[in-house]
Amino acid sequence: MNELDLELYEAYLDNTLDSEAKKAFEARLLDDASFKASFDSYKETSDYLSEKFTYQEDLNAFENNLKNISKEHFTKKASPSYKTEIWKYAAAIVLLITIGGYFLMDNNEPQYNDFASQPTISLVQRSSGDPMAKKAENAFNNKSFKEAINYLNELLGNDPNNQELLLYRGIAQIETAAYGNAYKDLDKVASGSSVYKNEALWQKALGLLKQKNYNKCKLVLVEIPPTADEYNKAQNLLKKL
Amino acid sequence: MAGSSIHPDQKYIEGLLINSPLVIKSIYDRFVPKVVGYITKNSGNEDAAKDVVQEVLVAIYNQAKHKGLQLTCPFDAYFFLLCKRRWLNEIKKSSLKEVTINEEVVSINDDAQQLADEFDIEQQKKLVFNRMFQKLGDACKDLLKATFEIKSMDEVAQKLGVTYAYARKKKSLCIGELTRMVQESSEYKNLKA
Repeated sequence: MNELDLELYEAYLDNTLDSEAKKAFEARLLDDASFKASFDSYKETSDYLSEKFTYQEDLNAFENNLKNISKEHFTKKASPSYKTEIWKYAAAIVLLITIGGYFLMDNNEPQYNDFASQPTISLVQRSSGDPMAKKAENAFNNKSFKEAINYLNELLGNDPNNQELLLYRGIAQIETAAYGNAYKDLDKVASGSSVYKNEALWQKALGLLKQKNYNKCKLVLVEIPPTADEYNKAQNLLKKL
Repeated sequence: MAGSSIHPDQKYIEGLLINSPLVIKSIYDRFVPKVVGYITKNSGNEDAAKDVVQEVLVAIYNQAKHKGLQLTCPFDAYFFLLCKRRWLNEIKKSSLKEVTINEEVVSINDDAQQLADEFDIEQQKKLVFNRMFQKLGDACKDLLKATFEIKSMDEVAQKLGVTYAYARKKKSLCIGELTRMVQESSEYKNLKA
């Protein structure tokens, strides 16, 4: 690799060649196999360096998120000792006897609050560090849902088909009792093929539960397939209805 | 992988790329228990499994971000295979362990196998690049780090106290030098063979 070629490779990758020089460069890539092989090697090194040093912020955010979720996952899954288990059952039985009578007399339907647990969201991952995304994230996680909706509206203005944002706005709208708008958002997500599809169905079912529209709620719950993460809780709620 | 179409599970890759907590949670709930099962049955424990899973997910994230990973098989098969290989390497490293490998949960998927092979080669290449980068002189190391972190050559030149033209030329020379060292290394030649 001679020095001139190296500078040329860099200028091409950096997009600083004028259009004529760029054309000539590309023509040479086609005609001269050794020039192309040498450029490909240079590019491979440049890509490696970019992976190593660029976008570190994004990678750190990803690793932190991963660590938190991993910790949560493995703590949740940690199996308690036999003795603790026995005490847990004993405590549960006492609790059931104490409150069971109340439920029997009252014949209560399951309550929204027993099932709803809003996810903690994380929207600021990209190196652009969009301040609006940070505001939306903070408002949502602090349960200031009205505020979160305003920010999510702005974010969706620029990215109207973002399934993740639509899901979060749907959840926030259920919290603020804007059910019509919530179901519009959640239906959009549920009819798509994103990974948020079943979560959207579950959140819609919760909205209907909150509205005490039990029949419609059941109809949505049965749409959640057995392969979904939400299947078990959906079945659990169905049984109670 | 010409000819193979992208699997619908590409959605997990997209989710990892945008660092979506819901997607990551879903991966932990659906696919991680199988990995934990495999590792604990093969001389490992839950902590070891936790580390393997994290390393593999970070590597998949990097592969997706920088190499445009496109899944042509179910995520489960790909992820499990990468975790399994990572764990078998760990075991090999600690040669004192006597291990009987329990393979009952493994199902072979050709596309997954091929993707995992490509993944392994990429990881090994990266190790060669890392080793060679360390062998570069400090001036090159500092300049490359600065130019790839900062992006604006003007700022880089200012930070390093050199002219714009010098920074630019030096960058291409340093990349050229690293390229030469990597290409000439026998480990890299073996990987390309």
